[in-house]
Amino acid sequence: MTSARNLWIPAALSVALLMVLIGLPLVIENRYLVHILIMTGVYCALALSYDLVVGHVGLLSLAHPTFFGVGAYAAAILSTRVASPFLVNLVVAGFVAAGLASVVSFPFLRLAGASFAIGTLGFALIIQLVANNEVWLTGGTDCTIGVARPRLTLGPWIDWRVSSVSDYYYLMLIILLLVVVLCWRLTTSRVGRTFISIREDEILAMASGVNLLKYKTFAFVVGAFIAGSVGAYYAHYSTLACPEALSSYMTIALLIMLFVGGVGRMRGVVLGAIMFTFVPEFLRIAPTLRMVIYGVLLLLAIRYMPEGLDGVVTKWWRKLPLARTLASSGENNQKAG
Amino acid sequence: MALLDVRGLTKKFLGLTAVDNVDITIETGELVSLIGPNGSGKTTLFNCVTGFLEADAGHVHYRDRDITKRAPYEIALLGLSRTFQQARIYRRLSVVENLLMGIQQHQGESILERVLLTRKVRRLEQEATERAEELMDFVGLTHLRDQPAGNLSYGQYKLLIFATALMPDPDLLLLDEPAAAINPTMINRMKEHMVDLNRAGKTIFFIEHNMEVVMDICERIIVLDAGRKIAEGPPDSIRNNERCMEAYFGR
Amino acid sequence: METFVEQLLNGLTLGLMYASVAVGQALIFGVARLINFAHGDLFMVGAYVFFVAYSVLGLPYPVAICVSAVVMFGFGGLFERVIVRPILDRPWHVHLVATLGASIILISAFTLMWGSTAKQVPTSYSATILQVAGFRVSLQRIIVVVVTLLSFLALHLFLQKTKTGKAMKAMSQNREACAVVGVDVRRLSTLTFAISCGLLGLAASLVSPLFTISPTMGMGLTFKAFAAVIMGGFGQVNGAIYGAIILGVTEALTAGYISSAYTDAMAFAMMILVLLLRPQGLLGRGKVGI
Repeated sequence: MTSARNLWIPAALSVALLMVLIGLPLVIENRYLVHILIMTGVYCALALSYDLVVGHVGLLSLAHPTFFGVGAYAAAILSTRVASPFLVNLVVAGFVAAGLASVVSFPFLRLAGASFAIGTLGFALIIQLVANNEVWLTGGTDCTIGVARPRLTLGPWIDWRVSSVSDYYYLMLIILLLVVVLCWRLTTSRVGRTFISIREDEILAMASGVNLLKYKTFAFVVGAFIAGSVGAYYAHYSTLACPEALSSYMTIALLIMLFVGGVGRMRGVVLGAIMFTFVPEFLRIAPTLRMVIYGVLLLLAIRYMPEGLDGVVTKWWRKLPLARTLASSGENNQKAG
Repeated sequence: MALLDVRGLTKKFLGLTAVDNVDITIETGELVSLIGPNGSGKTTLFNCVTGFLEADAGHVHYRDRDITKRAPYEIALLGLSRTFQQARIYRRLSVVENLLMGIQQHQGESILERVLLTRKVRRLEQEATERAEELMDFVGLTHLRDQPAGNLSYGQYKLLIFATALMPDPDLLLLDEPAAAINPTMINRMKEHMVDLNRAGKTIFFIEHNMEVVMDICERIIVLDAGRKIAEGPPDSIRNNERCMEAYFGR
Repeated sequence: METFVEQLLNGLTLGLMYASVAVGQALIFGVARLINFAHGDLFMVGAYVFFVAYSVLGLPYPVAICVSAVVMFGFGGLFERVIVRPILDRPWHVHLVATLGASIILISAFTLMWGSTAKQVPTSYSATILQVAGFRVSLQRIIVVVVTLLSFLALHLFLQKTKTGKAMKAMSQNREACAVVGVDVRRLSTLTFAISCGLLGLAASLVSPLFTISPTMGMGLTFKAFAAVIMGGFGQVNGAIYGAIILGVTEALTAGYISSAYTDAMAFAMMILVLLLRPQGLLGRGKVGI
């Protein structure tokens, strides 16, 4: 546990970062760039929820985008058929995804190692086929279109009609903040320690009194809930839900973000999501070439950087004189306190 | 009534009987050792008692409770702590976190309380940390408190594992080769710790190959050979038992 | 009756295509204990090599087949050296992520080179229709069935008769013992990749004239082959072939008589069912599930 005295540095940095994030759409004139920022936010939230399952509990699920897609469809169908409001859709989509996850977790979590990965992959492919073929429900390859723009009302005080790109940006920022806080709480609390105990050594975890099934199910279902809600946001933002949302391509994209950024590290995962979405757009690299580069990066990361980019950056940072001063002052504080 | 009561325990692997109709009784406050040649079924017996393997026949009672078919985590939560021969620790958690992991599941708060970080959870974490500090002090690992456990030496691993098993203040400690593969100084430390704890009232049942350790500190020794219990008694009677010496040293 | 036989033959061709991928996966899993998520994409590479040899360079068909098989043999060995070898000793999830990475590299690189649109590579045989016992059959299908089955037979003989083949079989049964006896595990691993990819090159040049080829064709194949391998008992070469043929035939028959929408779903559902029946892991023995 870090002592209270040197918590001010990360706290100040977080506030500064938040200020920058709030200010960004005011400075950036290019609306396309704001759109890219929104997509970065979507991927950040999605990758963070995936990392709960993969990085913390050590369950290599290949069905995470499925929950994202199912959430997107749930919101899209609700919005277009019964015209339910955005906030309701957001929550219902989360619960639909979480419900589906808890149903499939029952058989799948009994599978060991790679069987779990392949089992979830099979499940993902089946749901993908359902999305493509059940036209009455999903619209098939024509997608469910015409999802309403969100309108958030709170009594007489707030009536926010989300319409411009920067409105969507702020909505995303709020959702991302909630996801970050939730993931941070989960991973830094005793729950997170239990998660890591399972990842590190299942047998020892059992001897420590951990109910493996309970904690694995919990992580899997919470991960699905977040993915489903983010999917709902995505459906309302893009105003449609398409089968591509649940494709295996998405799974690979998420794996790249996690393993290149730093699996099991929140900062690393965020870094990975930014690397994946924002940087290449900024550098204007063609999408196909991008995937070649990412594939190579993934192979290099897995071979040479077990802790991902975040691990490398942290190592460099520790060597900087500034970091040394901060660290030693922190130590002094601890000794004094 | 006995603290641990094993009756007619049998475990077979592919037709091979690893544990064959074994009866064992451990009373509160005892310091008992389980010895036997390699492959005699000692670890298998431990695994059956702690729920990691399902016994084919027989019963295990702990404090009058039938724990034969219970899951490992349930048995652990009943106050029966075990260690593993392979020196299992959470390598990427720090020393203090390893110790905290040893107790936190025993403290009984819900996942929701943990996520909300309620006052109760903070108090429990505080208590657990205090206990961890005490035990680090007891085994002499305080200076390594925040080191990743993976950085420790093998002897330090063993001490950490030992201390972690003690974290929940268990009524019965099952140790699988606590003194194996460590240097003589460490062995002596481990011996002292076990005797100290036993004097303080802890019941300890352990597997050990180091006969010196066993003969020095145990009140009672149980000998397994090819899955069967072939002898039981105080160190002197075992030393003079020809059958045991034959099983053990092949003489 | 006529359509039934046609569907059956369609299914057999499809099944043999799956089998060519599944055999490689089973063999690789047996020897290297690695699940290759890029194996279907290697089939795609084989198809493109054949496309270049036959359509671009204009080589005669038999020569183009040989070129594809030989090039793929080399490419398989290279793939093992560059992608697999460095991570062979790491845990299974590293294998999975690395081979998925290789898969995305292959797909994107081929999209860059050849575009994402599907290509056709018809040979003169695909248009030649024969009358066999009153049924109309494309000559190409007959070639596919006969040559692929012969290649499987050759593989079978290789595994049964030659010293290297026997070592591969022994490896899949008991790795530890093989390492002790002094089998060169690493050399065998390279060779296994080379052989299974050579087989892919052959199969791809046979099957491609009947279907279209595109950079994304591999992923579906990988997953189908998984289903076949798992249904056939993991790591079993013959089981994988039977699994693949059953899969192909069932698929063609359901597509022909019931509905084409959920033929794939059935394969994956069957795969999940087999997995659930063996929750102790695909290897079925020991505590460590793979």
